[in-house]
Amino acid sequence: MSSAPQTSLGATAPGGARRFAGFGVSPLVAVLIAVLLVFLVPPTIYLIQTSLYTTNFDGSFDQFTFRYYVELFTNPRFFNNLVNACVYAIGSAAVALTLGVLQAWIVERTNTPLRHYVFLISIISLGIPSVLYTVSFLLILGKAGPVNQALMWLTDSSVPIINVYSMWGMVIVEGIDFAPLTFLLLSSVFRSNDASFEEASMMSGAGISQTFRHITLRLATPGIMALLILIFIRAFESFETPALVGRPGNVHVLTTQIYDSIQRTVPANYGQAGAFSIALMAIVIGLLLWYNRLSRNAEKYQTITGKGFRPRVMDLGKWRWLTCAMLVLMFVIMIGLPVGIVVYASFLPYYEGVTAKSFTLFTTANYMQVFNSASFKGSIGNTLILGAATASLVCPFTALCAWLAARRHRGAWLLDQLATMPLIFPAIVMGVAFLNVFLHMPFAFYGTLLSVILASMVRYLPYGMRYSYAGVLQVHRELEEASALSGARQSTTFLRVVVPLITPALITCWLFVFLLSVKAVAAQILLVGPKSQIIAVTLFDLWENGQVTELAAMGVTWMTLMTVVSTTFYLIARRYGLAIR
Amino acid sequence: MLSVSGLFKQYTSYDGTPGGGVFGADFALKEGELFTLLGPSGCGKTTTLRSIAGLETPQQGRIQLKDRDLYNSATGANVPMYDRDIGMVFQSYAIWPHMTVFENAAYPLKVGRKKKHSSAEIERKVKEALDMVGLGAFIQRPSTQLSGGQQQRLALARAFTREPDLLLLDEPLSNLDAQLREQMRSELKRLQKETGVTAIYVTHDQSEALAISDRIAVMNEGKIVQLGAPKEIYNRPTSEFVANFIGRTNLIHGELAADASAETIRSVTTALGPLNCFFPAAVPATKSLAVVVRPEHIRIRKAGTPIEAESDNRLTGTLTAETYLGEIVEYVVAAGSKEFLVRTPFVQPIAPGDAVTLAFAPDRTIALIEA
Repeated sequence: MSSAPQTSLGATAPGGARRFAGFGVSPLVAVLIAVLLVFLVPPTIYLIQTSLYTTNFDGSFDQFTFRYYVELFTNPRFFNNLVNACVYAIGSAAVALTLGVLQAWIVERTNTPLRHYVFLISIISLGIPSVLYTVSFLLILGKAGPVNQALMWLTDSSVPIINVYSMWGMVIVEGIDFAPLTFLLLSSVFRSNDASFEEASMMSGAGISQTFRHITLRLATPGIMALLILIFIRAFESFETPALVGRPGNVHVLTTQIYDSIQRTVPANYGQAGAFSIALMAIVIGLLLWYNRLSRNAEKYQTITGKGFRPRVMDLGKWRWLTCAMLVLMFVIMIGLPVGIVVYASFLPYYEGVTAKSFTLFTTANYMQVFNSASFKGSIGNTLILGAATASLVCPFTALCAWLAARRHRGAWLLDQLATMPLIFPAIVMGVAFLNVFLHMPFAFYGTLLSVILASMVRYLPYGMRYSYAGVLQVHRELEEASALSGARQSTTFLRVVVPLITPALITCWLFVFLLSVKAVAAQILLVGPKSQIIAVTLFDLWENGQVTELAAMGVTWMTLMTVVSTTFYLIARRYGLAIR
Repeated sequence: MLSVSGLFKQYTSYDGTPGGGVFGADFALKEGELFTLLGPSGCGKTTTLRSIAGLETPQQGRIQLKDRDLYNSATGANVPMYDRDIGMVFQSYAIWPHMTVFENAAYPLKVGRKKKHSSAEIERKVKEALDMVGLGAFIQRPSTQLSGGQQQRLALARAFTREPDLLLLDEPLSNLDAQLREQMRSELKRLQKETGVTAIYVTHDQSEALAISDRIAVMNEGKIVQLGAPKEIYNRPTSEFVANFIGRTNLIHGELAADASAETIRSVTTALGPLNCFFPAAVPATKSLAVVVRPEHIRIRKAGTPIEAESDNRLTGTLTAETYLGEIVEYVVAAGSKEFLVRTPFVQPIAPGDAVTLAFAPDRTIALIEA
């Protein structure tokens, strides 16, 4: 309502000595802005420099050149990669949305049995590293996998029928991988629709499927559209699936090209990686602007009204067993089969598909090897430290920024903008940018765990901001004003009123940042060194080396650990009635 | 006690166009008075209140509480809100859901830095405040278990525990249902008189303002248009806006041939014939007068029935509608091209279509300059 300047923290009079001359920005806001700039400016500058200079063997910049950009546009592979990336992103967004919409509707708006477990399962699946997920689908759909074996047996063929190392393989794997996140984001869209709209449709004589198509889906369309673009962006900049599924089949996208320029080219072609990164970033920025416009519209369409609002479930009658079967089927495809095949592989001495003979070869040797390996234990330790440190840094920091921004402190809008800025860096691009920053540090910083944590913190700032902002917006402004008029200073108000009230949002924030940061590989793969190995990258390397059974044992161990973490949080959340979004 | 002078604060909308606010408010409160800011939404009453609280910073003017400058644009003084010693009850109550009833009420004593309180002292004061509002039995309850009315009482107790110099009430009754609202209204007034605290009450509900206030400042478009005791505001509105805003009224266009001085009765020419009107303020001869008569100041009789007072203004017309509301009856009468609303507790032996006579005393017939 008011666009008027608020009294800033610690400031006692307009133009007082404690305000920064001219801007009226409080010292706290100024410090936070400075911190964000320190983390954001160097990577951006180095990234741009990398694409404009030739790089020496020691990593220092040599001559200014536009060569890499000229190469970019004259290189037919660039356009080829671009087209591949688009097809792949559209395809996987379509798969993820179809699964997500169906699940969200069944869970939020119907009385299907077992529907409440979908939340738990989705959160657990968020904890599975994308690499492991992708690998499990390669084991299922690969040349020696059970699907090809069955098809070969059915058609009496001696060669594999389907080739997963292809565009459609990438689309399926990525789409299924994104489905849980899609479901979690969509469920809030469906929850916010008033059931009376659907009831009015039923009273007009429409059936369940007509109501779903004409009312439920139409009301949710703006939300779904915004989500579609979001998934498109995520797929467009994703790395794991293209690297593991597309690359062996010679299907390249922009992210794999960037990775190859650095890791598979001798000497590393930093310039080419830089130019590709800038190009990818430009596209992502365009898409994000579009997304912002759409999601603003989506908010306008939101149908939450104070009066008589009750999201209610629809009685499906006998049909609820069909929807229940669909949930179970989705569960089998999304969790059951991938986890099953990895568990199965983890007990084998070598992997060659699912055969009767292999069951007789079961061994725990892989697990023994994993548990006895110091590097694996180190990897687990590093990953837990990485996740906990990232989440513990991101949540309080974004909470403070979000509060200052939401309460319109002078200059705090910049905090909001800066903390959201990392979204424009695709994970692999951020890796390239921080790689260059760390290589140019005056002391040995590249490859340390601390460096990985810092990069990861920057990467997940926007996610933290999203949760914190939502939390702060739920706190009625008058709750804080009442505190101020009780004689409390703003710092007291923040600690005694705001923090306790946004704690539920902060717990959720912590869990999600933790899960997201430990499962990713793309942001960290270019940054980790021998002493800072983390699980996702170790799994990636094991697959590249063909050590499938060790990978499986390690993956199972990690999944078990993550399931314990997620379930604990889920139970805590349920206990305190927190919203898992 | 509290004095506000030249208070100015204009909001600017996002596209830079000037918006609402308060444009030069002046008033002073007496010790122990219940003072009401009344006006439609967007009239600047809440901005005025929030400026006094320190929740908004004015652009111009001066706010003084007990001879101390809370805000003064001339000297740049601006006391932060935590230092102002003002208690406030919010429209949403703003009861902290993560604290118990006791913790909510004790908060001002714990965070205030002016004087430290021992825990025994805090307990005593909180108990006292909660007893006063009738929440003594709920002291250890989680605040989320309170009903709307109880939350309202707790908000009041919280504002009192600090023993503030000034109590601000921002539409405190608007979230309660009708019956509870009347009950709380009289209780609020009782508490205010008992404690003797000086209070400013903000509302858009004119009947609430009339019932509770010692004095009322009616605001419109950022300015105070009339300030006075409830009876004065109701019976002697000084502008068409106030006449229309406070209660329902019948309005007749009129012309005045010669200048009229303040507090006199003069004849005014209207389309319905000459009417003797009271002039609350001096008015020069004009062609645009508004003559206002309250519906309950009009007596209605079947045509031909004698009407008591000879000096009354009289009109004849036709009854067009009758609405029975229990304690009163509303009649709509067409006289000439005007429709008159009449409210009376006495049911008359008339039916729609009957010819009727309307009578109203000259000192209830108020002539104002047309808005």
